[in-house]
Amino acid sequence: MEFTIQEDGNLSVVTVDAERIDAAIAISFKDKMREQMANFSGRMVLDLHKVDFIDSSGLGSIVAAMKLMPADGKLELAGLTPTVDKVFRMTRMDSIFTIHDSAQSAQAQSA
Amino acid sequence: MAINSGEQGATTLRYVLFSTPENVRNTLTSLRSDLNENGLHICPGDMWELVVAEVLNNIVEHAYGDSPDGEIKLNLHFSDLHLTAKFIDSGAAMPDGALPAGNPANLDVETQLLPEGGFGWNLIHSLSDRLVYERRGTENHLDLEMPIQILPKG
Repeated sequence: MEFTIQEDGNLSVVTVDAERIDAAIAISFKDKMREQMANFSGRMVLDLHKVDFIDSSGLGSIVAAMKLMPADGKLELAGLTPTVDKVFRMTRMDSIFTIHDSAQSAQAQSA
Repeated sequence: MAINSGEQGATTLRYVLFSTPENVRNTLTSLRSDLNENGLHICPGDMWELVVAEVLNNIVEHAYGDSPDGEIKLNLHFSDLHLTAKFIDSGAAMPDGALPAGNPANLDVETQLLPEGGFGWNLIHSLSDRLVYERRGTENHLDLEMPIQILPKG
């Protein structure tokens, strides 16, 4: 699994280049996020528009990543596809994260 | 491994896999293409794959305790409105011989205490119409039924 990272001032957009965040990949996903977040400050938007499947292990790894964010950083989400969006709503995790329709709308908010 | 029953308007698929997260992923990926090959197009946003994934992950993680050589049999029957699924494994029985209640996780806590797991059974219970667990000899049998949305043909 690869990430594409686009940095713009204090906003960093991390696009997950994978169709699935599942139990087979949850640990490596969390490790990659840990690398991204080391010494990070500002807003990090995790763009999930390419991800069309997430299971509860994948969801858990995103929650774990959020906990790894340093105190002066914030992890937000963008681009949730229909099934991913449902998993967040059903587990009420949509109330924990700031969720944007797309990375573009997340960027517009900081402008 | 997949077998199509050929029954009118319905598709039966059978798989046997060994208990690793990678095999679960590969089985679900095959399942998607097997459904397409059988002309069954499920609506985007349908949650059938999540339910099947959560049950399989639970078998890998808990029934077989992450040991990679446990056999899992998966039978799926897709009809126009329902998925009927049967899971058989030879791993450890469910604690207390019954399905976990699957209560919603408590999110009313500070960030560092937010749960990173324990969502699975709540999702399975919420999305299923029928869920029956039985220990038969050395096997676990789980039967479930859930509504699905099929895209109209043409």
